[in-house]
Amino acid sequence: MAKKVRKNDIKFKEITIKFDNKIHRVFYLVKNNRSQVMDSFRQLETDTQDRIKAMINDMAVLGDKFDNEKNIRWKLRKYDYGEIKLDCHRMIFFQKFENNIIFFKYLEKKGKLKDAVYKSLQKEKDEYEKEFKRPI
Amino acid sequence: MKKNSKDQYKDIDDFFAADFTSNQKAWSMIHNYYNLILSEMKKKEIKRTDIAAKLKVTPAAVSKLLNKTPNISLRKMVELADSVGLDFELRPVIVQNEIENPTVIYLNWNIKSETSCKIEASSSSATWFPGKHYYEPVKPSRSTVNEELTCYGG
Repeated sequence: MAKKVRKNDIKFKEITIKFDNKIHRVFYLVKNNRSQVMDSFRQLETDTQDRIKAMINDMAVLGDKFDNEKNIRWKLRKYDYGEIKLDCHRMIFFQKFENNIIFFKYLEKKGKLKDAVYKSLQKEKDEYEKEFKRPI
Repeated sequence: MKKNSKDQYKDIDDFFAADFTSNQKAWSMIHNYYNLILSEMKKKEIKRTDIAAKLKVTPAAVSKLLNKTPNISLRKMVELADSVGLDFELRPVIVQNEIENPTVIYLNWNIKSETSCKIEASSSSATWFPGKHYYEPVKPSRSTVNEELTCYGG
């Protein structure tokens, strides 16, 4: 008998930030046992992975003082989520309870994204945000 | 047997939990360097064309400089920092007991304004702290190595 899969089993896994002086905790979304953002991250070149790791650590430690508008936008205009953008790689995240950063989507696209994509990301973000409980 | 998500993403968890590699340290330093440059440009309303005029290069060359790469030369880093009013100095410090106290090389930033920040680096037997802009030697404690192992601003 086929196993019944529960729809939208949403979990958030924490990324280890080794620095004591971090002001944010960082999580990634795991939906139905899969993480689209980390599955995609795995496929990236080592240098890009290194760069993203360094960037995530800087975000966790410096918070929005880490203002590097070319690569990080903490909040997109008109929307309440942000993105890391390195060349064609975009890691989309939202913030909840002030000090939690949650990565929920990876997109590969050079140049501008269509507004419809941003709207759809907003919907996704709203869905995940509801599920994110204040971590202990 | 199907892996659960805990096992599935163990490699990811390990990757982020591991100490910074040289490449990751280089990227973190570059991010922090540009963070300071861009913040200073924003604060002082310095345009790329202003920097181009100071450095006697084209605005396109400035844009190229601002395209982050860990391979930016030390000379270019100094020139760019200077053009936005930041002082950049590399100062080696030999500590007396080499075994107990590793040789520390400081990479200092002194912003010519009321806010100052330093990026300091030491030898490999140290830990990289991206937000604090310095490596902290494992042994001995920070304060006994050098009083200047302190970060201002950033």
